[in-house]
Amino acid sequence: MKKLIVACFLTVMMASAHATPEQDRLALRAFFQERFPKLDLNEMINGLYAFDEGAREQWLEMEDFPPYEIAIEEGEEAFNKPFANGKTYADCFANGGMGVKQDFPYFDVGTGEIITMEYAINKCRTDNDEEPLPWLVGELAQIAAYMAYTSRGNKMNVVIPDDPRALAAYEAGKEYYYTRRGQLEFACENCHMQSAGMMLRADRLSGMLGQATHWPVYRSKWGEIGTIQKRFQECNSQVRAKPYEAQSQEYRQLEYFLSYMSNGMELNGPASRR
Amino acid sequence: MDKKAILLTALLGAAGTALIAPAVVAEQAISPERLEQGKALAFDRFKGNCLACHWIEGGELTGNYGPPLVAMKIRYPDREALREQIWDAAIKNPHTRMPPFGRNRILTEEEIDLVTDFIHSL
Amino acid sequence: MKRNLYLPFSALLAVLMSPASAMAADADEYVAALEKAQSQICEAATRVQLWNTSEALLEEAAEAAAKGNFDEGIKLANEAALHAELAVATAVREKKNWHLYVPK
Repeated sequence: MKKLIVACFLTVMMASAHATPEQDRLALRAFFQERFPKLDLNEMINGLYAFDEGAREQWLEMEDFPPYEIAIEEGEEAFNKPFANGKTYADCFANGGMGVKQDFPYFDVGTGEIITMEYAINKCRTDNDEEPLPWLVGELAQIAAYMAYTSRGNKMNVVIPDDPRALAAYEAGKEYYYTRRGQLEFACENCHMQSAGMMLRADRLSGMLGQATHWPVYRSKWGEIGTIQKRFQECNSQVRAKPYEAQSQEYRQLEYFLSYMSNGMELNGPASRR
Repeated sequence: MDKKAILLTALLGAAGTALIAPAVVAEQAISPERLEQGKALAFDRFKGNCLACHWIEGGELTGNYGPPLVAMKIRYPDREALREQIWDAAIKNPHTRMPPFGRNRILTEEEIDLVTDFIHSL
Repeated sequence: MKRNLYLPFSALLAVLMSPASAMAADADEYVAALEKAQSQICEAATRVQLWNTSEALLEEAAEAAAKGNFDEGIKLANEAALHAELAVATAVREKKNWHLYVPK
């Protein structure tokens, strides 16, 4: 009898370990469709506004004069300004950096690293003998806003190549998302799946699907445009975990997994949020 | 809550407390000062912060992440069961979303006693 | 983590002049507790994501010690180490459980 229990347990473990990223993504969509039967899942690229008609109306009014507009303009200017060696950001990216955000983050076969768009922007700088920019807000976020803007309407298309290191990075990001952490012991999942659409104080919680489509974001709370990894740090602090450094391996793996889950959804960044 | 709901809660509460007479005695032993202290901890954003997730009478901008805290003596005839829920809700439900206020030392044992007394009085 | 461990002279004076100092913990005991806590926290940090409370508690401990209150300093340093241990305990449990909540 004892043997049988162990055998069953092993089967369950192997079944879960063998779910492919695509199975995960489809299961996640099914999870949200079951929780919100009437919701068009593609609406979830609008975060909490997919769940809250009142807040959505206010938000749409704000979108008439979007608070991220200046960031796009400043980002465009910075993007086009040549480095000291005469090269530009456009030289570092496919298609001159226009309409490419759907491909980020990607797995770099040469180095085995996960490359987010912000990571690639700073790598472009250092490869051209420029100082890297601060990760969270300011010029880097503005450039990312401009690049996101040129990618609007494209569908998220994160690829996990047939390479055990890429799959391991995806799995690490997935484990991070579902693992409780911090003194308050919340996993990302507790708020953004189990409780998506509910109120935490005066704020409605967004759902995990579409969470990666609209960055960078101008948050009223921040009063400026910031990157997705700024939000990771903020979430960590809110559950009283010590945040990792921006673009740490942990956060890049998380962004890889999170972005894959939004595959097939329309890019709509930059965006504004409360 | 509308008047009917309040009346119903009160009636249920009365029926519930009548069935568990010892709890009534215990409640009488809790001073108003103690309940005030418990309430202050429950409402404090850096302590219990109960309102982030729960509706409590008298609280503003309350969340609905967790159930409203009403008729607590019916839901928890045994004060100790309520205390355990606050101390570590994962004991009863491993997939709970409630932070383990005691196990992770978010509140001290004395603070948990005060909060328990206040919540149990709702 | 790079905190100045040297105590201000005024704190030392406060201890020497305090009539209760014979009963209370001294600076050496505090420094020993602090170093023990720091090494425990660093060890935990190599294994799990820490809570943001541990380092904050160490700062409070340093403030208490600077005022000559070594008993409080030791108490807070121990608490900081305990928070690191609890972070590890959660991570160990979660290693077994996290996959239960992935939609299948």
